[in-house]
Amino acid sequence: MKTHIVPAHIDPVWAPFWAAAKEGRLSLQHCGACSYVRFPASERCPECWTPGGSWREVAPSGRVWSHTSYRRALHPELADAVPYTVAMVQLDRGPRIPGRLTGLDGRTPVIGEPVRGVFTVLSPDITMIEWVPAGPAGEPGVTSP
Amino acid sequence: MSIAMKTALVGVGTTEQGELPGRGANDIAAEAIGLALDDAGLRKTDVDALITCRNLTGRSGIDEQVGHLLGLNPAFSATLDYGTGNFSLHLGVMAIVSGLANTVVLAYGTNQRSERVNFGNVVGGGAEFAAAAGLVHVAGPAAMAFRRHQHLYGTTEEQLGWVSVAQREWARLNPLSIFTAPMTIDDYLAAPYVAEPLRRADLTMVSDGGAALVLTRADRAKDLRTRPVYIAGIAEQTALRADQNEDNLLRPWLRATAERLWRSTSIGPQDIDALYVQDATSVWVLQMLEAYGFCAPGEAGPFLAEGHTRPGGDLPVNTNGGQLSESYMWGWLHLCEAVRQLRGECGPRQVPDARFALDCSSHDFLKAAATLLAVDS
Repeated sequence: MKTHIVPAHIDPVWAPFWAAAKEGRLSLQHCGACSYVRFPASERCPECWTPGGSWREVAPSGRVWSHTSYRRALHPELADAVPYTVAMVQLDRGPRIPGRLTGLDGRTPVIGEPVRGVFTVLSPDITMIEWVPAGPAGEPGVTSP
Repeated sequence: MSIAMKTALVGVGTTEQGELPGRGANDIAAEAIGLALDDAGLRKTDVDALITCRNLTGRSGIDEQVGHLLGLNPAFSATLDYGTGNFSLHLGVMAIVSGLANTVVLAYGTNQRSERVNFGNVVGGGAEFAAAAGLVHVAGPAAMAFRRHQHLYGTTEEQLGWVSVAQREWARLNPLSIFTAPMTIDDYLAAPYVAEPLRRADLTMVSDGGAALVLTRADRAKDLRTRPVYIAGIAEQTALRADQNEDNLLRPWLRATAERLWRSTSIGPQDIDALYVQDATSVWVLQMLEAYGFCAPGEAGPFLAEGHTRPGGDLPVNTNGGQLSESYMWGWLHLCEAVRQLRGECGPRQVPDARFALDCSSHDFLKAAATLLAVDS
């Protein structure tokens, strides 16, 4: 059963991101000149235009900035995935990034609630960071869908 | 330099909307152009500029294709990608004011429904990541944007529902509309979610159709048979920084477009007789009402529920039914409707004594444009 649209190839600019995710780490580009932390990955800093930047680990913790639950598949490849919830997560130490939110036991998420990242293996190359409520239950780790 | 009142829309053409199987998108655009020229009382030889709109597939709607099909050698031609009518209209104004052309035809034709175009695809720098997260289709981010509005201002689903309900009421008065079944606010609330908290009625339909407009110099417009609808103001603002903008879900940069437009004119929100909002989702209407100052930030929910935007209300919005009920033409039909309203041609849905119309559009989370349209009193 298909639950995700798995990237067909790895964009070279994103390669360090996916390599880190495979090891269960969230890594983002930090600009060496102005320290801006950016997402999505890009060739140069959108703030000061300095090329490159260093990939650094960022704590996989944040809060729900907003969220939606797909009740109908709005992409043909997600027909088996619905219903599922996507949150926009404001990282505690970084920008906002989207990701699946699970572990809700049927309840609606609350904007502002703390979440922690878990890593879901989608293919040999792609491991996705996803989110669960940051309750006491469970420990971060790599899971299969 | 002000562009106010230097150009006027003198022709509009709209083809049948809905499903046009077997028709090519370029041919649909060509049909609309013919209708718009007939409306203006102009001929092929009067046209010296062509602006077309490329389809989402990228395969049709290119000026070279449409110009060839129509046998035109215009002095100026161009293609816009995802040009909502507003962006194309602004390019037409620029072409005329700069002296590149005198009479511009603008057109969009699409067979996206018959071709089953996938609107689930995501665009932008983080597209693959967003798709892997499952954040597909404009409905997802629009739902998140509405959640933010609810969180900040206490807006309810019922209040948002009045966008779709009011537009359905308008659509039932428009013979071009595709969705004309009655819909009450109870019907709206009883429908299932698609991307919670948005329902089917909050999201644009996908349809085939064509629309075209003829824009010419104001001094020439006076000699034509239609009542000229003048371009009284234009403004644009992009947000190409995309998700790196602060709270891009709420599209705060819409306000910059509005401020720029209102600064350029003595007309204000209180003067607008009919408002048009390109409505990929109902949430865009909610945002535009606040961004353009028709109500204070956070107050669009109660404003909608009070019925201002419905037939008979004091701020008619999307009197064609919009993309939620009329047809999905990337905002082009909003412009055509605004022209017809200002000419007084809209029969049972006519806004009495309409003099000023505002058309606000956006390319989702990336660009915004606004046009102020006016007729002589």
